[in-house]
This record gives sequence, structure tokens and C-alpha cells, in this order.
Amino acid sequence: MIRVSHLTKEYGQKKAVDDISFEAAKGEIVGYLGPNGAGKSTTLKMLVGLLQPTSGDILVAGYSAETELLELKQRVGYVPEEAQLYEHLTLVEHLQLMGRLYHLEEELIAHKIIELAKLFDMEAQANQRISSFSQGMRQKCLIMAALLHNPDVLFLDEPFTNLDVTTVTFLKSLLQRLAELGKTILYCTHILEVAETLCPRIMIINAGKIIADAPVAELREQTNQTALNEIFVQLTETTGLDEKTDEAIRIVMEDTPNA
Amino acid sequence: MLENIAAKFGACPIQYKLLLQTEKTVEERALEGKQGTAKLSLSVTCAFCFLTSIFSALPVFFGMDVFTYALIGVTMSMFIVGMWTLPYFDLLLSPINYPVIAHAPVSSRTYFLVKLTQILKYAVLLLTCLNIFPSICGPFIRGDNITFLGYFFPVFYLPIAFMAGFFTIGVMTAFAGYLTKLYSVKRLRKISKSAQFILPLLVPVSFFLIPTDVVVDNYKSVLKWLYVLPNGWFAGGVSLAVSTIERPGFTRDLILTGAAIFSTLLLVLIPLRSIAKTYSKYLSFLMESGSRQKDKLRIRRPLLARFFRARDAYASFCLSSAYMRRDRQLLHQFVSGAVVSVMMIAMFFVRDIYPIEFIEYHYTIGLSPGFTGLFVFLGVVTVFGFLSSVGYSEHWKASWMLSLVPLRKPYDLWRGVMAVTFIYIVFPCTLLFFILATVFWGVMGIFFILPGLLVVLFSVITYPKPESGIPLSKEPVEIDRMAGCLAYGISMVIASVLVGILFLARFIHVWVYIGVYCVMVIGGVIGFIKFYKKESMKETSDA
Repeated sequence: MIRVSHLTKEYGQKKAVDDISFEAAKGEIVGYLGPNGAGKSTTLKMLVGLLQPTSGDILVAGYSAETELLELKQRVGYVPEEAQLYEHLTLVEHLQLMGRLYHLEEELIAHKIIELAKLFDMEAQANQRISSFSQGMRQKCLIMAALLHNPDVLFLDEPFTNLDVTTVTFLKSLLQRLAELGKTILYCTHILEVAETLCPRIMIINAGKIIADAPVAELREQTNQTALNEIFVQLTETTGLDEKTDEAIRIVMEDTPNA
Repeated sequence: MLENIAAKFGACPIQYKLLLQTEKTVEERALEGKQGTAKLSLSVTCAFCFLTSIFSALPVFFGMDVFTYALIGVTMSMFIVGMWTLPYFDLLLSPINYPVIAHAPVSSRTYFLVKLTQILKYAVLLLTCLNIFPSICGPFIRGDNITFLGYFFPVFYLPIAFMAGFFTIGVMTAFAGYLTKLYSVKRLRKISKSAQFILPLLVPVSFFLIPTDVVVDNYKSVLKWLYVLPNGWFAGGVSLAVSTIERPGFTRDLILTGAAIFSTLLLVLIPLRSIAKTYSKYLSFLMESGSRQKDKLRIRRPLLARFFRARDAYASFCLSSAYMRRDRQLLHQFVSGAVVSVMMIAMFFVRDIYPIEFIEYHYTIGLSPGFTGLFVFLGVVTVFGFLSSVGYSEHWKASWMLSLVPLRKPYDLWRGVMAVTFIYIVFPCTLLFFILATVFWGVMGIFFILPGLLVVLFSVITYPKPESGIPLSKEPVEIDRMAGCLAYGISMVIASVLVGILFLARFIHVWVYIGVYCVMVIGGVIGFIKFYKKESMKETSDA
């Protein structure tokens, strides 16, 4: 479903994504982890066609990002990291806009909006402007819009940010069921607990390079660690955690020079 | 009795009665606190209205016809009620004491009806004072066309005068409500208080704006202008009720009455509904949240969706039209463009500088350089005001969504913007100028519209679209108006050339002129369609 080969994105001299290659099969949920600025969001933006790669090939749902971008976009759902929305629109208007841009029939759009609003507990806010929404509600808007056109592949960049426990639990269950139905999901996050429970396979990117790509159990064996956060720290940290903490304590406790 | 009426509108009668009584008590005690100054001010207002009423009834002794007599009374009543409404609009729009009852289980509907009753109580008092004498003196009007119903003049006149008063209150409140989108309520209240003093001063000033020939012909030529104004519509209603069917102005009065009823329903009920909804928002943490949960979310198929073949264009149309109404900056830009042009046009009417002949003066049918020039000016400035701003938005970062979706023809997004321009700017401008044209030239006015309309239409499709073609996608700080100014200049040149060619043709021969006019209009329409399609095709192939 997703095939990425030798993907690179350069910003001037800096390589945000450096020659990465991976594949994700139909019905697979892949956790895409990495520290801040590792290149996670840049990878996702290239995969959905929002950014032009410097080099490399992208194939999503059988369509090339270079030659068949429109077909690719039609089959992709994307939840970005930041909830940037047209705030003067209401939830209904926002979902109608997205539905129309994906060329869905008006009746189908209306039906899906009503049902999704009910499921996401947004019925009462459906005709309110997004500007009055909390961050969690905005996040729900993005998720509903990403699911509206029944995409084959979902790219989720920190989708559970600001969401309440009930919604997160519901979404986790929903994503698992969608994967069972054959949707491929690339799940980008910092919350390792969610990644551990939701994603059978984990990819870790650091400084633009994929440094680990294996099922969680295999990663545990490779690193001799049991918890995913320990595996993550071991793979991404160059200096030891203890030394780093000691150094931080020393700086915090230091008196000001004039004191 | 009032609580029974309120109950029919869905309010709780007990709460309604109680709140109304409380509001009354609070009001009375507030007056006591001010040592009766407010009460005195109300009495003075009523006395002033009685005086005005006497003056409005005086024309009965000058042998005026029913229409003119009713027109004077209704106009005075509307003007004073309008002035009175200005400083009180926020009583309805932003009730300051709502937090006091916000913790109680009072529905927004009940609270709204209490506030509405308060407003109506004063409105009825004022309207009665203003219209009492004109209605009593009405039966003394004599004329060939008056039926026996003339003796029952007050029965017809009073309800119509009240309707005109409510219409004015509705319009003024809606107008103030619209302005609150641009300015804060506090600032608007200050402006309205100043306007209450300034606007009455405009009445004597307006005398100097009336062209000289109008004064000379005893205002007969200006009377036809009043048919397009709301006071004329209501006066038409009175005239229709008490005059015979066979008289010459019967059809006119019938149309005017229709306009009065339709506009009252439209301009009073719609703003009231919108204000009632705002109350739900104010009190949303009360009963409303529970009742709203019960309301089933319904989404109807939009009417306009049927007229758009391209879904992307329709999506863009909905987005741009919503932002046109809701984005403060876009609204500012668009409204200021329209207001400046209307002010400029008003200047053309100033007596002795640009007499009314400037507009009416023409060589033959379809050619009035002044009229075409004004239409082009208002149309092009408003169109460019909107198109130069629609590329920018405070929510420009949200345009990632428009880059994410599979757009087969990116030009469709711009076509949506153009559709907004056609429907919300070009169409109302054309309608306005068509009404004005019919005042001067009757039904033939349509021929005076077409040349200007073509220029405005071409100005929409030739406007340089943003590089990306995506509306609301640029940060407002980067606004570059050079393209807009250039396009504006070019359009003005086109308008001058158009009028110049028509002049030249008329100079040669009237039939040459008619031929050129026909070729120009028909060719313009065909050219417009072809050009529009060509642009669309070009963009598709580029994509």
C-alpha cells in the first residue's frame, strides 16, 4: 500500500529526510516515531503531496506521487500536526467543503456529517463556528474530515493531541477496525504508550534517517529493553540518560555569578 | 394577555410575566435614581412626536392627494423612529443584564420576548404619538379617486404606519447588528449617539443636494424617486386602500404595497430570528444546551449546488462567500470599496456641480455616458475591492487543505470566487442600477444597463488571479494592491473606449449607432462566454 524508496528532502544544506526507504502492507498500522525535528512530519507531508521531495520515489495505494498525484490524493486521508482550519466556517461547512473537494455527492456528505458528528459527540457544536471550538474539538474536525471520503491510506500526525480519554479510546478502537478492513495507517506520534498498544510495527526516525523498523517484540529483543520508551531513548539518545540528567541538575543548581 | 401571546410563541408565560414585571420595576427604580430625568426625557420625546404629528397632518389643508399625504406622514414617522432606535439597538443585540438570570432555567426565547416587548412598548407609544394626527385628519382629504373607505382612513393608515415603524426598527437593528461584525458594540454605541445628532442636521443640508430643476418643477420629478424608497412603498399601501381601482396609479400602488409587505417580512423577521439565535448563544449554558441536544442535526441540500457542475468550484464558492460575510478584514475591504464608490456617486447628484442631467443626459437609447460611467465605477471598484482581498486571510495557514485535496482543475477554485463576485456583487449592483434606470427611462432602462454590465463582467474575468489560484491562502501582511490598481485603470480605459465608440457611432448616424450598440452588446456577451471558457480550458491544460 505504501512504498517509499530513497526518499530525501533537503532544505538548503540541511537534510530533513535522508534517503529513507520502507514499505507498509494493506491493513497494517505502522507507528512512526522520532524525537522533535527528526523528519516525521516532513515525511508525511511528502507522502500526501504537500511537499515536493528532493529525490526518491513514493507509491501510495498503487499511485506514484510524481506522476499520479491526483489519484494518490483521492485515496489518502491526512490529519496534520497543527489544527489549522478555516475558523469562520462551522463544523458542517468545513466538512461539506472537504466532501465537495473530494467530489462526494451532497446527500452522502450530509449523511456522513450527521453520523460522524453523532459518533464524535459534536452534534451540538455542528453549526457553531470553528473559532469557538476548543483544541480538542478542532482535532476532532480534522479527524472527521480525514475519514469523510473513505480513504485507503491514513496518515496521522499526532492525531490524539488534546483529545479526551473517551475519544482516544474510541479512536484507537476505530483505527484497529479500519486496519482490519484493509486500510493502511501510518501513525506518527510522541506518545509511546499509544504507539505500543496500537501499532504492531514501529519505525523510528532520527536526524532524517530510519534507525529502526521492526515489530515491537523484535525491538525489545534487539535492545534488551521491555518498555518502548526505553527502547526509544536507547536508540535515539547519543549520550547516556544518567549523564544528561546529572548535567541538567548541575546547571539548575548553579548559583548566578553575581550572587 | 401579553403572556398568552408569548406562550403562543413558545415562551414560558409565568417566567415571561415575572421577567417583564421585574424589568419594569428595575426601569422605574432606575428613573427614581436619576430624579426623573429619564422619565422627563420620555415625556419630552412624546411631546415632540405629538408636535411632529401635527405638522405631518397640516398638508391636508393644501389639497394633496392620498399618496403624497400618506408619504409625508409615514416618512416623518419612519425617520424619527429610526433616530430613536439608533442608541437602543444594543438593548436587543447585547442585553447587558443577561448574566443576572443566566443561572436560572430561563429559555432564551422567553428572555428574548421580554426584551422585544420592552422595545415594542416604547415603539408603539412613539408611533402612536407620531401618527395620531395624520390618521385623524386623513378622512378630510378630498379627491376624485377616493372611495367611501376614505372615511375609515385611520383604520388603514395606522396599521400601515405601525408596519413602517416596525420595518424601520428591524432595518436599523439589523444594520447595527451587521455593523457589530465590523466594530465593537461599545464603539458602535458611541457612533450611534453621535449619529442621532448629526443625521437630523442632514435634512436641511439635503435640500442643497436636490437639483435646481426639481425645486423649479415643484418636486414632481423627484416624486418618482420615492417609489423606490421604503416610505413610498408604505404610502402606496395607504393610497391603495382608500382609492378607486380605475385610477391611473392603481398598479403602481399595488406593486408598492407588495414591496412594503414583502420587505417588512424579510427585513423584520429575518433579523429578529438571527437576534433570537444570538440569545441562545448568550444563554447556551442554561436550558438551551439540553434542548439543543434534542434537536436533530439536519443538513439540507443547498439550492445553488444544482447550478455548479464542478464540485471544486462550488466548494470554493461556499468558502469564499462565507468568508466574504464573516472575515472582518475581507468585509472591511469590500464594504469600504462599496461605501467610497456610493459616496462618490452621491457627489454626482450635488446641486450645481453635477446636475441630474449628467446621469439622464443621453443621445439615444442605450447611451448615457454619466449613467454608464457611474455603473462601471461602482461595479469595478467593488469587484476589485473584493477580488484584490480574497486571496488573503487571517486563516491563510488553513489553505493546506486546498493543497491536499485532488484538484483536477485548480482554476475551479478561482471560478468559485468569480461566482461569488457575480452573485453577491455584480447581480445586486446591476439590480440597483436597473431600478435607477427604470426611474429615468422606464422598461427601456435595460438598454442603458447592458454596456456597463459588460464592462463589469469583463472586469471580473480579466482580473489577474493569484498565482496559486487558491483563495484565502496568503498572509494579509503581504497584500500587494498594484495588480488591482492596474486592472482598475485598464477597466476604466475600456469603459472610456466603449462610451467613446458609441458616441462616435451616434455622431455618424442613429442607425450606425444602433448597429454598433447591438454588435457591441451581442459580441460582448458571446466574447464573455468564449473568453470564460478559454480561460478555464487554458488553466485545465496548465494543470
